[in-house]
Amino acid sequence: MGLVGIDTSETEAVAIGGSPSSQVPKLSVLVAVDGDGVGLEELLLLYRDALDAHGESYELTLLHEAGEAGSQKAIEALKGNWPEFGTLGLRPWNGEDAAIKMGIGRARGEIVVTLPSWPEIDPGSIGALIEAVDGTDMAIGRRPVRDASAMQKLRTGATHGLLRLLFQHKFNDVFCRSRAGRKDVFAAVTELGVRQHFLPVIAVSEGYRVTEVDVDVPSQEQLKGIYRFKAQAHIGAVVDLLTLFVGLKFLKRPLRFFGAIGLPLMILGVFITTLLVIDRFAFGTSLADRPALVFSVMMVVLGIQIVALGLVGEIIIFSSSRRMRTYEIDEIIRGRPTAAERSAAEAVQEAESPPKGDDRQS
Amino acid sequence: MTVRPEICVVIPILNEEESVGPMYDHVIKALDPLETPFEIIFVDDGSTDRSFELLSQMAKDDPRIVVLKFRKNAGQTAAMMAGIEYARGDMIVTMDGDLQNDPADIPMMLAKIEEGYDLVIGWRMNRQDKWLSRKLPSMVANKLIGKITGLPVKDNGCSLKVYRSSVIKRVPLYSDMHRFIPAMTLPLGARIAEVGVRHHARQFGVSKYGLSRIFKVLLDLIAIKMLLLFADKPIRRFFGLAVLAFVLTLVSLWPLLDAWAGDHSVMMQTTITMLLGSLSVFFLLLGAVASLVHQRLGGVNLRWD
Repeated sequence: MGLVGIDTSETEAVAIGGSPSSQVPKLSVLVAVDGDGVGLEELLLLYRDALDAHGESYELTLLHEAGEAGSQKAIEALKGNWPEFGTLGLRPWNGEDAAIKMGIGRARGEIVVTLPSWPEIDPGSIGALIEAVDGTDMAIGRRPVRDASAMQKLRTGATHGLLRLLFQHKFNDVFCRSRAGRKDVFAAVTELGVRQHFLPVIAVSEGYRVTEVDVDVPSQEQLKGIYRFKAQAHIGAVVDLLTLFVGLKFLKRPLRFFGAIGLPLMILGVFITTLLVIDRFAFGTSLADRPALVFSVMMVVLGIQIVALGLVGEIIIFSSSRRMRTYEIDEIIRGRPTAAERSAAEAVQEAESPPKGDDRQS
Repeated sequence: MTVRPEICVVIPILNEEESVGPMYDHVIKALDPLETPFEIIFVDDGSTDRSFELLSQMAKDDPRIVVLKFRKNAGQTAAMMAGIEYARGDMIVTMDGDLQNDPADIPMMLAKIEEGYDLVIGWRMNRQDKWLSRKLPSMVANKLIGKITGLPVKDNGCSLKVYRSSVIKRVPLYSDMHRFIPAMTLPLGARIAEVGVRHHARQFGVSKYGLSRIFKVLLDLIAIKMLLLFADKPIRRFFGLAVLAFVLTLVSLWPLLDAWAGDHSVMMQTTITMLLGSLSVFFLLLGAVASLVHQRLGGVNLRWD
């Protein structure tokens, strides 16, 4: 199943370093490099301090575009003296989302931590995110209200408002990319292939528990490299959000979605056409110079086309309904037979099975 | 190892903490005298109350209980589908978990299926529901479903049904299609019987359905009719529609129509002709796509063969 269909199958991946021991680390930290790698080395060292201080065994994988000079410089500086540090150079670079997906596929730890390649949160807060996974499936950072322009606050507020409207999720900071969660949860939610902003949204929609954890923002001297969402990024996020909404709500019932658009259009078209024809017969109004007729016929045709598209979608779902389960079983509890029942069942089984040595005798 | 059950009772549960205990007692009371191995599959469809906890406790005491817990609410059809997929018996009974169906009717329905039927549908004779909000929409829906699918079932909304496992496991269930199971078994040539069953007013909890379901049922009904028509051989059906649209295109070109429409307007006539013509081409192409997809996915065998 893929909404956007990030295909990582053709991506060439070159892995370097990583935890040298055969012991599986508890944490797999993924950092996807976005940008030219300026300040990356310093940031990774801060991450290292925070992870070392936390005390759990970990591996940190830097996901980067193979051959990109900025990230290569940081890698060269770090790879010799940091045993837990590894890299995954990808070519072609299909973006952070595809890189994260590939990183999750290769992660060995039971807990995956995703961190951005710019100072988004105070590295000291990483521990709080990891600890929060104990009682939930995914923990995401919630930054305090930041110093942002009024326009930026408006855009962020509008996107979160739309999120609440469509999904009834009350995330305060869905764009925070610092997250920690169970590996299987990350693997399940990245299956949809949408942009990583909405991984928590997908996780909640799929029934996983997602908790927001208060994190600190970086100190003033780290802030210079902070990433700010541009207007076009917010527009892209809204488009992604709408795609996700349609995908999650109607992917398994396409005729409901297409029918809800096409049927009213078709019915309205038929209604207007009928009125025009009645007008022609009852009052003799000429149809030839009435654009309303073209409009109403177009509505009927468009309505039929939309419903027909929904029908093809429905045929696809119907044909694959056995493969596409709409439910996720979390737990199966089977009643345990009592000792008396077990011995009775064994007696029945013994009576039904042929005696030993039958093969030789026959 | 336990004895393989012959009868499997599938009960979807959603926030029914008060009902699960009495429901279990009633089912046991109804099935124990039959002296046939059975199991009860409770499917917890994402309950947020104590339903799962109580069911787990019950499963500890009775090996005939199986509890499937969904991670999140997936709907009644999905819950039934999970239960049916998990069921091992030759006969599968489905019923609501809110005590509105009476398990005491199950032996009678099992006896009916033994007469050679594949599916026995319950029909709530003295329905204990509000007339305006429940009975009337249900009556209209049943009439409509009967007309459209060609199977006039009195009460499609009654969950109490008994199936032969070999039949129900072949029906592709998804979305909210549990209401249309009888219609979905039609292409399989299933033998269907309808019997009157008891109905009790809801004692605990609240109904999980609102009036919004009417619109959903309507769209699902259209979907099911179209699927029954199209899913088997989509290219043939879409080709038929393309021919129909082409005939309409020719009609719109008819000089008499021009005269009938009133003053001569070539622009108007050309536009309408083009719209209808494009619809014809659209159907042809869509039919080809549908057929391709259908073949790629292996299609759905709606028949016994």
